Formats: sequence, C-alpha cells, structure tokens
Amino acid sequence: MSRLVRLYPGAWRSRYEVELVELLGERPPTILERFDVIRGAVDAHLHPQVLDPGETGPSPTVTEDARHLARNLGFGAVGGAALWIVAFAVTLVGPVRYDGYGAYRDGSAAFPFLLGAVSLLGGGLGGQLVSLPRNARLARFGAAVALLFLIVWGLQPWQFWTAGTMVVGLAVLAIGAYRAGAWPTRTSVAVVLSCLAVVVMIVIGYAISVDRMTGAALLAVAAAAFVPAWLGIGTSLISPPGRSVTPRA
Amino acid sequence: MTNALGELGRFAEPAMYILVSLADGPKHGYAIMTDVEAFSGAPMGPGTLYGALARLERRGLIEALEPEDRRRPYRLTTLGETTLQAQLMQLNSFVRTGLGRLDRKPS
Repeated sequence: MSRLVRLYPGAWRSRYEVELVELLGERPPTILERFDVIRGAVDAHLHPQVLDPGETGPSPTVTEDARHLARNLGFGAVGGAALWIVAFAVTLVGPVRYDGYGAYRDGSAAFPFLLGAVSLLGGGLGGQLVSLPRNARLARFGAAVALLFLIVWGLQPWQFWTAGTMVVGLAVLAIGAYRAGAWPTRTSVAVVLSCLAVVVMIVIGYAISVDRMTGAALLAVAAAAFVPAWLGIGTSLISPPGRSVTPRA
Repeated sequence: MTNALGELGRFAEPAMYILVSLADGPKHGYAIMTDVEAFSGAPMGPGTLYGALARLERRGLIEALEPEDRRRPYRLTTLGETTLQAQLMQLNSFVRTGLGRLDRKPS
C-alpha cells in the first residue's frame, strides 16, 4: 500500500505520508479504497494543498527590482492595448487600392503601431514569466508558448495559425494563473473568453470563403475581441495578488 | 464563513463529516474514518479523508496535534467550531422548512 502513497507529490508526502501509511496498515483497504487513494493522489497533484517551501508567492529569485519591472511591463501591456486599437483603426481607414484580385485596404501605415503594440504585449508576457508564482507551472508554460508564437506571428503576420497558437497559449496562461490563485477569477474569465472569441473569428475566416473587405471586417472584430485579453495580462501585473497565494480547491 | 465548505467542491461533504466527528474532541485519521462511517452510514475512503483533512487544515478549520506514535490527532480550531455551527444552523433551518412543508401538504 505504501507504493500507492508514493503517487502523492513530495510535499504532500512529507506532511501526511506517515499517518496515511499507518491508517492503511490499521485496516487493509478494499479495492474501492485503493482507487480512492489513487484518486486522492491525482487530486493532490492537481490541487496541491501542501506546497514546497518557497512555492507560494513570487519566486524567491525575483527581486524587488524585477517586480517593479513586471509592474511597468504591465502598464506597457495596457498601453499596448490602446496602440493595438489605434493600429486597427488606421488599417480600417486606410486608402482603398486595387490590384489584379480586386479592392483592398492598404493598412501599411498601421505597421509601426502594430509593431509597438505587439512588442508591448511581448513585454507583458515576459513580465508574467518573471512574476508568476512557482506553483503556477501551467500558467508559465502558457505564457512561454504565447510569447514564442507572438514573436513568430510578429515575423509572419499573415500566418494566422501562429496567432491562433499564441491565443491558445494566452488561454492556458489564464487558466493556469486562475488555478494557482495568481489571477482574480474575473481576469481569467475575461482573458479566456477573449481568446475564445479570437479563435472563433480565425476559424470563421478559414472556414468560409469571404472577400477581402469582409475578411478585413472579421479581422477587426477579432482584434477588438483580443483587447480584454491584453488588458488582463497588463492589469494582473499592475495589481498582483498578495504574496500568500492559495491554489483553488 | 458559510462558504468555507462550499468552495471545497467534492470535498465539502467529507469535510463536514470530519468537522462533526471532531466536534466532541480530537481524533486521528483512522478514528475519524470509523466514526464517520458509524454516524453517517457511508464509508469514507482514505484518499478522500486526507484530501479533506488537508483542505480543512490549510483553511485553519482544524489543526494537527503532536503525533502519538505514528498517528497524528486533529482538533477543531475556534474558526472550525464557528464554521461548523453556522453550517449546522443552516442545515437545521433547511430541515425544519422541508418538514414543515410536508406537514402542511394536503392529503
């Protein structure tokens, strides 16, 4: 039976292993009780109630300077959201041009704004990686994926699958941060819904054949839907929770 | 405070049983398990028991005492007592409402 107890995380075992092994020794467990122990081990991994020293709060390697930097990056990400809106507004009012395939809006004037906005979002994701608590592994993974694909997308903005992957990374970040208690529920919900809306727009854009103007309109809706995600990244850096981080039950 | 157990999801009911079990004094894991089985009629698995104990301890509703051999007794904290009382009052009101309505039901 002690082999089953080894399925529990290390921190949990150092606190409860002796008692649980003793309890299991007092009454031989039935098959159902063995399953219950396995289920308990899975739960202890998914919802850790006992954390290793240093697992709560920001990483001990994070200095006050780094936290200050993360906060500034949060302000940058919020500013980036404004720049993002400006970029798409500039695109939408760009001059109509014609080529062999028909009419299109020339949005080249928006590129400097877009580049600035994407850089600020990248900064915000970097701030998340610096400031997320150690136990927020899923969130850190999501932030890393989002940052990687944000860079790839910035280099090839016409590759929408890279944007889609970045958005999925953001959703994973939001879910992970919620589970680790690092973000308020409303922030996580706003970011996930925002990401979902963007993915839906991208799928619609791929699934149905639209002319260029309709495509541009869909892109504008997706861009607008993305703003709450952006704000969530920024505001969670500006107003992080206290050092005592409690994972959700 | 009444949400203290509600937020425990599937562990809310086992947590309530544990609080009731500890209401008459400290007990260790095995004693809690047999006591709960005796008064509720439903067995509580070891994994569920320790999942609920860890949650209750983390929330300051129970506290661990010094181990006796390899068994560690737990007891209610003041917060645990208050929470249990509030939960039981709520249940009591619920039961009285239900029974009262059954009594008034036209035959």
